[in-house]
Amino acid sequence: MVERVLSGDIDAFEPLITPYRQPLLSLAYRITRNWEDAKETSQETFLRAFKYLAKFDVQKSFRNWIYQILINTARNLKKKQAAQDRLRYDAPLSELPVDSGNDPEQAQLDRELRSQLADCLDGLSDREREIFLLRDIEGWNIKETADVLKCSSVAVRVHLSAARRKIKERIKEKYPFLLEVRR
Amino acid sequence: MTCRGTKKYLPLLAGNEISQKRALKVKAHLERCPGCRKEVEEISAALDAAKGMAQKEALRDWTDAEWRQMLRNVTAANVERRPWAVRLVQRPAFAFGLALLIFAAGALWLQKKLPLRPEERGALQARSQTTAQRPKESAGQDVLSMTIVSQETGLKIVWFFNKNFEWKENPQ
Repeated sequence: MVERVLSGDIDAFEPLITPYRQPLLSLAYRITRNWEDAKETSQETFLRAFKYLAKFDVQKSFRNWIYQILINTARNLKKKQAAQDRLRYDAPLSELPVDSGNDPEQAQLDRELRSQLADCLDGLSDREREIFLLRDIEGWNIKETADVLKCSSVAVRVHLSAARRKIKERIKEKYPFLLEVRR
Repeated sequence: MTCRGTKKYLPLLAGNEISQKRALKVKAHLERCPGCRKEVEEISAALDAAKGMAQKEALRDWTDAEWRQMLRNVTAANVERRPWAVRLVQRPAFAFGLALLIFAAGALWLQKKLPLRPEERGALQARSQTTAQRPKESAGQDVLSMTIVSQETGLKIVWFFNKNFEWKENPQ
């Protein structure tokens, strides 16, 4: 598929990236915590993937490569926003509209869930958040996570350990009922 | 294992990311220590809770119109083509031919570099003796002479040594 795109068949790009359409958007959202930024990050990711496809080593995993671009793009966006010191108003997640049909009870539940997860992730450093999301939420293994983040497996374990501890503390402090249910 | 030594492994134990050998040691400690056991249970529960929240979270997807527009924007950019040399090398027939050429060159080089086998060396010597002109028999170093000249008197002494190291002085 990559070869087809590189030989000029642009239409072959869509089937190449379609499997990552929603997963990349979700991960971008969980990193940026903002749907507009998530869409911007995803679009930039696909754009870079298309532009630099010639640099992709076909012997390696395309999934790892495109996720690596996404992580870097999200980091760059964050740096850019910090540099511009833009005064952004991110509506609290609980106020954001959610698509839950016409069921207000479900909508409320979704808001709460989103708020809780975002709150847990808030306590993590950027690196811890990336590692936690890839390993525990996306279900990648340690080696794949290290590969995407260009760090060692030991570093992944260290950050993962710290992230899990922080999440446990946050849940214990703010949402103890989530731990109670499972006891 | 002590509590201090165990605690650092607890978050990884919760996700089954430590070696079996170490896991056995940690679990042996957990059986004795209710404090560490409680902690690992809490970490596991928190991990499950976070995963559960993520699964239940209603995530958005691109609408079809957005996706089409995004694809149009993306593919409007120029794809960076591989340089012609890289593309040529990546063609299987070319790559195979190139590999064959490199192999042949390597084999030739090795043939020149490696020492000859005894039978090959013998054959080569025999051939050189028959084809090339044999060098004249030299007299060899049967006799060695040594000359000493005095700078003061101009006296000159010449010694001649034969093979048996028997010597003669000024034999003329």
